[in-house]
Amino acid sequence: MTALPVYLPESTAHHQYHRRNNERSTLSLLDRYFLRPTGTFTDEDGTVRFFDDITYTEYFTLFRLSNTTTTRMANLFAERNTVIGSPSMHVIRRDHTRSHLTRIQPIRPSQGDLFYLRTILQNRSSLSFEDARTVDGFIKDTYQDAARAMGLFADRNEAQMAMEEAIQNLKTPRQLRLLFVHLLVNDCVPSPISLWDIFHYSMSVDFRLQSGNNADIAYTRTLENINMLLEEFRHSPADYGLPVSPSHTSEVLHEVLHWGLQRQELEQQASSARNSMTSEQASIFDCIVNAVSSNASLLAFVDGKAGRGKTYLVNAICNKVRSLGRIVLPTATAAFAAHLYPGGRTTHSTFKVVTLLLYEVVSDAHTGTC
Amino acid sequence: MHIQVPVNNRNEMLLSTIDPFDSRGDLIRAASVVIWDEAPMVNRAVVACVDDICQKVMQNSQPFGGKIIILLGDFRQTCPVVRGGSQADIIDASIKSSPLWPLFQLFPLSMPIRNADDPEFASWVDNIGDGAGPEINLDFISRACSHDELLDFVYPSEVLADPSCCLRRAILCPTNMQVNMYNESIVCRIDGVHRTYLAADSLQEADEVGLIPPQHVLDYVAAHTPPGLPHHALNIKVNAVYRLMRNFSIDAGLVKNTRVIVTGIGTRLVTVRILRGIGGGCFIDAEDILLPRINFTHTLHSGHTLLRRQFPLSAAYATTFNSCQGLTLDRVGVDLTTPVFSHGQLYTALSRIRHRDHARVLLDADSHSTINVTYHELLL
Repeated sequence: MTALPVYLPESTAHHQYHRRNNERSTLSLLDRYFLRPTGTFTDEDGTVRFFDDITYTEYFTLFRLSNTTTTRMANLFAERNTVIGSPSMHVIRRDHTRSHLTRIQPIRPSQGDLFYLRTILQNRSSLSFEDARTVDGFIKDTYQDAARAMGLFADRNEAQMAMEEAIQNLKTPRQLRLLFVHLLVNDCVPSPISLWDIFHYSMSVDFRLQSGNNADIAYTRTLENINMLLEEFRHSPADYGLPVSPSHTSEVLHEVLHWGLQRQELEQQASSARNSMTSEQASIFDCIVNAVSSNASLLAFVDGKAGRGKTYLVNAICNKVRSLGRIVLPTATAAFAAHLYPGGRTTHSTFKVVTLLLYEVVSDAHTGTC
Repeated sequence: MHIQVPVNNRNEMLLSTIDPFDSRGDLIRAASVVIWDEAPMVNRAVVACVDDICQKVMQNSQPFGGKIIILLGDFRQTCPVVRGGSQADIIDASIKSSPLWPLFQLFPLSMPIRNADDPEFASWVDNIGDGAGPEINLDFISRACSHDELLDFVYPSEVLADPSCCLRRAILCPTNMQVNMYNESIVCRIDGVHRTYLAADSLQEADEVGLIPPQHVLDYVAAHTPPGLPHHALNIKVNAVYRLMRNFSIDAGLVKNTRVIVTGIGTRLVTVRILRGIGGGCFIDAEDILLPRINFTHTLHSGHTLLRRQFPLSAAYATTFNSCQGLTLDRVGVDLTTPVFSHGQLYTALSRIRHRDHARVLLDADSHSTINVTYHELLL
């Protein structure tokens, strides 16, 4: 077990074996980490790794330092010899069959910038104190700024910054709307309405051009589009406190309109699929279609071995039922399977099954219950 | 005051938020047929919940309101996930243990599709699914002698250079640790600029009351990625293939496990395009999709809830036996140096391909066989 010190550059409190006015003063483990060898080594998986890329804890988990060594020793490396007055150490690969635990000393957030320096050292490789606060080629003023720029702390404005970055990169309004919806449904936006206020113009540019620069039409069509995208996640703009778009169709009407126009085409697809089915597929298909036509109830389990044409069968059933002007809800436990069927959804979202219960307990002064 | 009451381990307390007379209630009432794929994967409580909604919507007490319900799936390869659950827990959670199960009529779909490539291989794989073993002799499939040989078989350099070629290939292993090891070394072999994104981790309980999360817990989860979460230090390379770890849009085909290729690495956004496989061919979608960092939660063994904000991506060259379900593959490398540990895993891995020549297995040097795990109670 090695406990690794962490301290700000101006401090000397943590230097191990520190002797005042002694030219042979030894450096701390953190200094030694910054002085680690250059080049590459091979880890136990056989992967070639760069010394520059390993973190503080990884370095001391994988290597130990020694003053003395025998020349026969394999896996021996030399430090970058750049510090005057301090002898270089030999860097020796630890025996990986014996695990060695390494930890950076814990620091409380109340210790200010030191806390952020520790977080950076824990997570990223660095070559110096200055390198530890360099992000994308820019040296930050503090470790706190650097840690935030590295994304190590969630930022309330992250959604806004993501939208701004998309606009700077000339992404299309359509892509912006999808991004906006993704941010909403993943609960990444603390205040949806203010994000909408800032970006609704950028998200409506295409509709604006299409409508002869009519701002009202563009605004409404943008809301409608976002409403449509949210519908898939069984949410509405109102859930996020966004303006409600004026037109709203019922789900039954939506479903009937969606497939109604293609009925002939669907019928053709279903019958050509029926003709090339195996006898097993065909009998299942007929049994289900008969039940639909005669309004009978049916509970069936199709035991589909891998690669026996299950997707093919389900698509044919959906096409047939829709060509009859009836509604079919294709669902699957996992979204990956659901997306193989046109109009497919997860079973959980179709039936709005919640896996978490929320009870609202109201404290009531009159009855004294809580 | 809001109190969150999680469902118990057996998910017995599931509810739906549908009102029989809201828009969704109307849709379910109007629906003639409900199709439910991959039903064996679900906890039986969900089936009970769906039965309950259908009865309420139809205002009768017939099973599922008298609707046509078509469940599909394969009990040989899927079973419900019960975290830390024993074999008995998994069997109890299965829809086969549901009181509704005996009401379902069984339809087998077992006839091989015409011109099956390798019928002998297909029946050998079927035997594994039906519970052969526990010792399975693997001399039927060619061997790879090392990790590198397995890598070169599945991803030779010309394949790695063309992301659309990688869609129908995979290295399959039982554990996440092996998967990470393969993915890391494959991503290294790809040409492209890369960037490492660090996640924002916190513990929900500590956040809520304004306490400081214990550093050693966060240090640990940064180094050991919990299942289902993206890595804390996520290395993203342009031109490499990743899979999505969240459902974004089913209609757009952006769902969990969709394969995407990274085209841009920004500060707050990663730009990707979907890799689509249609009729054996593969192509890259023309539309850029912008991915932001999103929140993931995970309940740790200590009972704390880890909140991780990270891009929902994970390298897709190697995958676990559990998450290869539903993929059709042209070439697989199966690493069985660690044997399978749960129901149906071996069958799932081997049934991804249609011909024995499409696979190589990696076993320990002097071994010719592996273990097959089957919970016979789950089979039909």
